[in-house]
Amino acid sequence: MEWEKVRKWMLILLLAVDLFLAGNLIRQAINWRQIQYRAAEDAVAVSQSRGISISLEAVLRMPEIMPAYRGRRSPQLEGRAAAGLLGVDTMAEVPGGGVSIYRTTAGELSFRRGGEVELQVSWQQKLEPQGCIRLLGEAGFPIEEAQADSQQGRVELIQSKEGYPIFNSRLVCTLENDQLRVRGRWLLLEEPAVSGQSMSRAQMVLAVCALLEEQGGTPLYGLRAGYCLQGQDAQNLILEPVWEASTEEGTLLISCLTGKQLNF
Amino acid sequence: MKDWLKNLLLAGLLLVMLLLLAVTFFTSVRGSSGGRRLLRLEEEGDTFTLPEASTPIAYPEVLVLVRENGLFCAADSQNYTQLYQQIEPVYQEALGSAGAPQPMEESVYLAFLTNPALVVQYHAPVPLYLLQAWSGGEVLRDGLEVSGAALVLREEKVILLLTDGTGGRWQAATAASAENLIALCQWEGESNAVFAKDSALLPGDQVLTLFQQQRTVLAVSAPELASRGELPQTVQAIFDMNAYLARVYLNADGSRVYVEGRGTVRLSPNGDLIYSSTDGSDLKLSAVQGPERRAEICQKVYDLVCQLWTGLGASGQPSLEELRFDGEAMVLRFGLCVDGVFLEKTEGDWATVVVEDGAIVSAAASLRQLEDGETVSLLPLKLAQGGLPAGRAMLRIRLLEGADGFHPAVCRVTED
Repeated sequence: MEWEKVRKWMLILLLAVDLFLAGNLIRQAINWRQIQYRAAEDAVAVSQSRGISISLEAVLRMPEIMPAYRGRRSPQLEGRAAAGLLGVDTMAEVPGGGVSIYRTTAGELSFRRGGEVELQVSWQQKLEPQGCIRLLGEAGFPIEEAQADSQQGRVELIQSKEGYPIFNSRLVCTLENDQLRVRGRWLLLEEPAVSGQSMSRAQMVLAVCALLEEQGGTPLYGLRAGYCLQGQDAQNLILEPVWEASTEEGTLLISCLTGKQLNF
Repeated sequence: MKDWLKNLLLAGLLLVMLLLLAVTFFTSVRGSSGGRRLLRLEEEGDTFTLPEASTPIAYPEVLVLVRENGLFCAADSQNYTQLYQQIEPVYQEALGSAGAPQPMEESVYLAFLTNPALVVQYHAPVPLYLLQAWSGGEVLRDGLEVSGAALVLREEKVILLLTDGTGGRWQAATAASAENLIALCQWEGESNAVFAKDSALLPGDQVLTLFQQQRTVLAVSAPELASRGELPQTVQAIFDMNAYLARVYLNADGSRVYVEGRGTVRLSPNGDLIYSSTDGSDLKLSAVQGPERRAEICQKVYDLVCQLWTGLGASGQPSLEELRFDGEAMVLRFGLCVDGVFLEKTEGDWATVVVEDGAIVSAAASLRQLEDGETVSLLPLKLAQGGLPAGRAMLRIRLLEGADGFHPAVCRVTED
């Protein structure tokens, strides 16, 4: 009977503690969201005071923080892609400078610094987005999140990462004399490691404001979050979170790590 | 309710409590780097850092694109920065994949400089193996110092043309992307330069600007930290000095001397820094030998010099000027540039580092803050060249030290 009483009180106590802890966590989450909202609101107000109009709704649609990724190129992945695309296993020629070239009678595939890819291979089919996606997917290219656009005799594939576009990571496929040519840039890493976090949304708003001020206060039409693929040297790749700002002067890419404009 | 159900509920609530406690604890340390290190979630200093990468340690003084509609020379800060970013991938690809350089005739070299081409000229000759090391070269080629380089297209292949320190010309095949070079040479912008050979003034590939350039005078002051005599812990750590153990002495001339172990750092109020040590500051080199070892030393010393500049808030970009050997010691001398324009001091160097047995045994640096002053117009190089007696004197735009700062000027770099 004693144990029955103890258990009853323990149940009540544990339930109370659990409710308290859960309530505390929910309150912290609400507070955190409110802080983020106020920070974004304040940053937009600062921008307004400097003559730059940025929509709060557009800012709130942007992620609060984005991770950056890094990794080293993988000769194994590249070799597997070459085998898949050229039909046979072949050794790479590695002349240096981050260049790896695979050549067979079926065609030629080269990987270069910064994720650049150049492919020329025999192709007897019509040039269609699904065909290109299937070809590259079977060769091991991460193609699941790719968006395809077909126009004027060419197919353009745009890579995405976790739902965000990689703005400069795209492959252009063309067909000439039964030769499929694929050129562009694509992130091809085993498992890119998270390497730091971006600036906060509010900090990014201020960075965008500073950049637009430098350009004479050009109006801002829209914001999009995404990534930019960059090669630090011959072997290392960085996927840098960026904001794409559409302005009257054109499109700006602003790094979420440094707040500076990237030139592509 | 049966006993076992109540016991199950008790156990469940206990688990939930532990889970909620863990989540509460982790969210509370989320913003604390100390807390994260305590939990081994983060190594010390684990902020966003680039992966260990090779970076250029010498910057070109002249950047030119040879396009269909004429030469484009990066003649101002913004264009230099943007153009350098754009050329870097294809330039490093070419350097890294270049084969063995072969000598070539001057006339053939000049004939190759046609659209599309990229021309790069350095402030001082740079060893080829260094250029190749930071470009990811598989084979580092010793024995050639490069004062200029060009990428040209021949039979759909990118050829690397090199000019050595004595003016000799060399060529090497590369695996660089021809399409990237062609795309690069579609850079928009008014044609603003010609080669000397195309101007009928004198033969050669000297780049002559056609229009006046606007450059700013740079006012000089000591970095704020130096003027206060503060040597940040991060800077002391560069020289393997423990800031908590260092003793600080004040000299009569206002300079402060930091002494820790066998190392001393003297920091003057005007920003001059001198380091010396009997043990040396270990560069932690790998086991490679030959040009790879020298390249590694240069890269690590350059990274430390840049950290020194950043740590004390100095302006400008260090750039390797000279690498020489003094017995067993390796001496690296650095110049300073601002967006491709080099600053010439009246005396002394911007930075000199001596390395022995894989450790820095001495270093000297002149750290300064530079601020934009008035803007001046400079004569186009083509006009300036026309005013010289006939010959091959090379003209460059540089910033010369004066009483009140650094003044842009057209400088005669070489004699005939």
